[in-house]
Amino acid sequence: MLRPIDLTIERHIRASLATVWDCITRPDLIARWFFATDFKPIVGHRFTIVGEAVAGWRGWTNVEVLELSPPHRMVWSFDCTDAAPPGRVSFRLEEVDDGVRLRLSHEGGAPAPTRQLLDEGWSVYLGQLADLARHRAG
Amino acid sequence: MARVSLVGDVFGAIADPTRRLLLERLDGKEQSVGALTAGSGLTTAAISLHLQLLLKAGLVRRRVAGRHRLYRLDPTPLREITDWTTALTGFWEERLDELQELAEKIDASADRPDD
Repeated sequence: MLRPIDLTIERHIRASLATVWDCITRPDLIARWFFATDFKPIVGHRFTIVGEAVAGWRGWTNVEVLELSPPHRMVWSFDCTDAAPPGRVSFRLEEVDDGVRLRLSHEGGAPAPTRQLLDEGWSVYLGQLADLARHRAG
Repeated sequence: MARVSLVGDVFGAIADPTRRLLLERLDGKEQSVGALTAGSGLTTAAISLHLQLLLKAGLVRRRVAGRHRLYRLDPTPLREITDWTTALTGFWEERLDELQELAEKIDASADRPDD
């Protein structure tokens, strides 16, 4: 099924698998790249991230750990907007020659206007529209 | 509120290449129908019709100045559609930059006996 938002970002990290896994599952390390949270590496655990509201984010997100397969895979339910059902964020780690390949995916929920735009195949124009909108902002 | 019901109009409006061109020409510059028609290869009536659709979608605003009607771009409906996607991508890119830096720093210092 084609999802409205299917964002995947891939990173090649020159560090060990154990270190990268620690960084995404230990609260003291999560706080250093993401947010200070009461994260626990337990399926079903819920936590909230709170920050300053910006365009596109209301300032808080409810997260639930859905899947956990150390040290390769973790999936969160990610409820970051009132305008769409919760999305799914997954972290996939794969050991490569000189480090780790990290793939982060954010799938699922998008506010209705964005969803409709993407459904109708307008993703090609998203960048152009964003430029146009930004240019005339204010 | 009312804007939500206009979403369909916004897609219809930007679906047409002539209207996208008109939006670009109205970006930052107020123009009359006459000025927009000149060099477009279209008739005044055709341009007016496109402008009506853009008005209905909330993408342009009209102002009467003497005998002229002047049009300009209003990007608000576009911003509502695009902001969320671009913001989300930017958010994760920034967070992953930090994550990468952190993980590499931890292992680099662990590898060095002096640290």
